[in-house]
Amino acid sequence: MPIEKIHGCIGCENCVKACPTDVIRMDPASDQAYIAYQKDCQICHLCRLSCPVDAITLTPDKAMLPTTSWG
Amino acid sequence: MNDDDIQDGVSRRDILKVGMFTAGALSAPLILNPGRTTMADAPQLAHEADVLVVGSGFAGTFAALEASKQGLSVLMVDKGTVGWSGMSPWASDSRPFDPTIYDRDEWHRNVAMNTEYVNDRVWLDIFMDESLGIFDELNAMGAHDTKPFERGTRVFRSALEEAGVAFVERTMITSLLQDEQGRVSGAVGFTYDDTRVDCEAIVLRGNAVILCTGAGSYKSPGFPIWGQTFDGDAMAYEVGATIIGKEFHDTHPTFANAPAAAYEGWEWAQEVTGAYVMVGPPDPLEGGLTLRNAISTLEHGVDRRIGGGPGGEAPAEAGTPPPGAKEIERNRQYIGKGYLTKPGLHLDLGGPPKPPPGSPDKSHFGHRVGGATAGMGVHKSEGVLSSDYSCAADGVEGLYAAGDALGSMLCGSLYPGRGFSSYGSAIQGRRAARFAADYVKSKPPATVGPQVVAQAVTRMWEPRENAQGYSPDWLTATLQNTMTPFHVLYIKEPRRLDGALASIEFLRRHCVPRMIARDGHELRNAHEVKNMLLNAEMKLRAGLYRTESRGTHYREDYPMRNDDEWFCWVTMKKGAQGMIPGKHPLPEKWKPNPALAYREKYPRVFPGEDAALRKLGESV
Repeated sequence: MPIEKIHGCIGCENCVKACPTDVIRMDPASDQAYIAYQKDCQICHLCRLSCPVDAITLTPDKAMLPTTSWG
Repeated sequence: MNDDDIQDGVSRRDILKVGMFTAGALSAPLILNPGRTTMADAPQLAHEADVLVVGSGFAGTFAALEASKQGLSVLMVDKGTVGWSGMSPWASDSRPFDPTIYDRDEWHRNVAMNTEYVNDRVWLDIFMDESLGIFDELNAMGAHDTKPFERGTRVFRSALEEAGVAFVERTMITSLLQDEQGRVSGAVGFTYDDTRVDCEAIVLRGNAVILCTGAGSYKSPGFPIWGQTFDGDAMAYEVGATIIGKEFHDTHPTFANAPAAAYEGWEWAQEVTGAYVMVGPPDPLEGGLTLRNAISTLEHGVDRRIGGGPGGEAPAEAGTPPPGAKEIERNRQYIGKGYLTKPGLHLDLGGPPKPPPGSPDKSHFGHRVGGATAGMGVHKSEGVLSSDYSCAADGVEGLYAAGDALGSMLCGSLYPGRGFSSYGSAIQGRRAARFAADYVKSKPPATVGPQVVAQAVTRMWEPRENAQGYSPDWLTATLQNTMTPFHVLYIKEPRRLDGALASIEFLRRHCVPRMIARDGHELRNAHEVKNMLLNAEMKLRAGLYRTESRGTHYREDYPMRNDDEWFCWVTMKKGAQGMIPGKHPLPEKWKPNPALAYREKYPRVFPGEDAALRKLGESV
């Protein structure tokens, strides 16, 4: 898992703005951040460092994407 | 396949050949685009200013502030958000040149030897003239009172806002706009965040464009650079600029047990508040990010310098002092002198980065292994060529580059010790803006017709409109599997390079025109992998072209440096029949002293080099 969960989001959008690879988006219904593209997380922790309420959990592991012949 | 599908002006015969082939065996099992949509009615937003700055790291920030100071209106566009841009949240160390304590000639000698003489000495002089001024300016801005990741939001962004710079954010720029005479005067891109509003085409007009887009990698694990994908190089190449530096590498390590954990290798940088200063001149041999870990892996299966490797052991060679020991001892003499007496400095005497006392223990992540930055070139050395030091792209009016987007060769074939990158970017950003301002003030604006814009926008949306094809994720994985292994990227041999090149060329010609993107995020990934594939072709062609070894470029079949034929930079330019490599000669006076023995000029030994030297009757 790279970015694992966002728990206790206050909707400030800092993590969305900080993410260099567009992993996190804002949910229009809840006005909270959610993990939209986990596979593109580079585990740089900028989201966590930028979160004012420490709502984001990351782990250092990342699984390889399976590669097929076409795709 | 039609003409629009073809990269680099491939000939009609080539098109037919590939076309016939693909119509038969290769076109069948394409996956469907689940998010296919027509983009013809997508909203189009236009912005205009005197100068367009693409990217907002050190180079972009200093470029925009300077252009604004020159009385010009400035648009700053960023793929992410201004303040968090690119590699700037990680930039920590600096090495300002203080003429009261350092010897200019010694810096020249050491950097030339460390970078194996192909560094640009004029740029090094500019760095030495201006780096202390950048230090003082950053101090005055408050940049040294923050942690690296906060510097952009707390200092750079507010300074830019105060200067009246307009921001266009979370927008990927895909191409530059040229008028009929080839003058660059704008760019086209798109907003990718389609969660709350649909993607929009963004048309930016600026009488000069400064690319501050940073470097790139193949989204390699273990290094926080995935947001950068050689976008500036790619756009500049397409409009006719010359690109250099692709045969050389940056070589950062990551952890054997958690190779994707980018932050764990960089946490030390975020632990340091205050100006992080490298003490002393760059060393003639130590302190760089060299090819040693790759070559060591080839020879021993492990990296003896920083430890680790596939064997899991970290054997130190008997009697070998720790890396940087001599450099650290020598640099003690400078403490307490010149600007090093200023308060709030974090002094680093050399050697590999050392986490501050009390930093978390990382030993459970295992040994350090090389290759975290696969695809990335040497800071300041790969990118757009500007041979007159104005930061203007050779042969393309209106286009400027700075920082890691500029092929300044400040750092030659090998990063000669920490401390050059962020200040080098700042110096070049400011310089680019000064020359761009002169250009904007002296020339009437170029006019780009609506049909040119429409064509660029149509091409940009293609992956969203394609009904079936290849996903950007698959292309990225295939690129990584082709290019990343050490026996292709770092340890070069022509058959292996040719094999990889055939695959990369195929991906560019056959798959890139058939990319699919189900949403805005995938459209961004699609354009990014297109740029990464172009870079891969440049790296392979430059690696094949330079038939010698030097710095971080190692050819098994040419293990020696060859000053007679290769005292030059390798250039890449778009031609009618594809990519054209060439040589950019360097001043004769930059060559190492011919009276010296080979090993005095080049103390680092490539595998196989001593045997080649013996054959020539040289002493080893």
